[in-house]
Amino acid sequence: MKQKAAINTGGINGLGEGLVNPNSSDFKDLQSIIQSFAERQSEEERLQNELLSIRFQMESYLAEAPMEITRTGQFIERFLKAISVKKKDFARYVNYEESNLSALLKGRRKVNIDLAMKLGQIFRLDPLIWLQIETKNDLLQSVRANEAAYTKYSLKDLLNKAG
Amino acid sequence: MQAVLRDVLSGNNHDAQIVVAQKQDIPYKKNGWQFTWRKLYRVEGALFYKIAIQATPEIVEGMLMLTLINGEMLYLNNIEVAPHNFGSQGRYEHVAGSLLAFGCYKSFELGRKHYLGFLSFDSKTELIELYEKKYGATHAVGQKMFFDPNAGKALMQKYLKIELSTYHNEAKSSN
Repeated sequence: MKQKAAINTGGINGLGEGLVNPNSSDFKDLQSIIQSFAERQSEEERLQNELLSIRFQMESYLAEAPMEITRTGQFIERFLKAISVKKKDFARYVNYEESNLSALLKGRRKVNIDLAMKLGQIFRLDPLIWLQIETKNDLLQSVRANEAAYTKYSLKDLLNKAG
Repeated sequence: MQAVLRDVLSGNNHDAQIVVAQKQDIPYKKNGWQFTWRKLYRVEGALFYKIAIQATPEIVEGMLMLTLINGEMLYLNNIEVAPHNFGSQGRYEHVAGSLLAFGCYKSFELGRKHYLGFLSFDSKTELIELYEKKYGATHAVGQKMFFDPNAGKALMQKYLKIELSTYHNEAKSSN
């Protein structure tokens, strides 16, 4: 098969520099232009983008190595803030005791399958992501607390001892 | 993040991953890269991502550098496809598009206030028109350009393996 004349056009861009000058007049003009674009968004668009933002925060939290632990309750709070729904109203809607929701938001309870399904339906997320974040947080806490206790385990050691 | 790169010669598609670049991934200028990625890597607070074919994760197909300005405005400082992907002899297509789409994804994740979903960048003057026409970017002023949220979503849907349907889309379609 014959190659195209040129591919990846524009595959190198940027100025090759590490820093952006936020004091330049061009940068300030850019900020103004973006702000005026953003202000022209409808409320619906803005809400949709905010919900997408939280979903992406959750996905990246799973995909990357976080510096700090973010509880599932914190993500729920971000969603509730974005849609301006009070915690007590949310608790009532998902048939949750308000005290249980409060414990969940503070990290004393975990998202279970039932709540993950409800959150999945409400925010159009794969319910699995809530459970994966709970598991990741358990693992992160365990690694931070007991990492040394696990370093003695290895395949070589197992084979030696099993031998 | 998953993307798909197309082998120009065979026409085959290959699954690719965009992940945080570790120090050992950062390319050297002596290997034909145009930007000084090893030097750029020392910029504090900057985010570096690489795209690689899943079957050959050790081969960097392209690089992306992002910085979050004032904790709210995501800036694409630099993007570069690997030398073996550049020009008429390039091996894979969609490297730049995938990295730009990923930058837009991160602008939703990290952008705040007015800047949520906006990805800004400086374009080489000769590429401004191409970035407008091919990728849907908006020319702001001088060399300053940006992707707005709708342009970003279009890029994500074109280049990334991602489902963007939201409760809002579904609510509209059920009415």
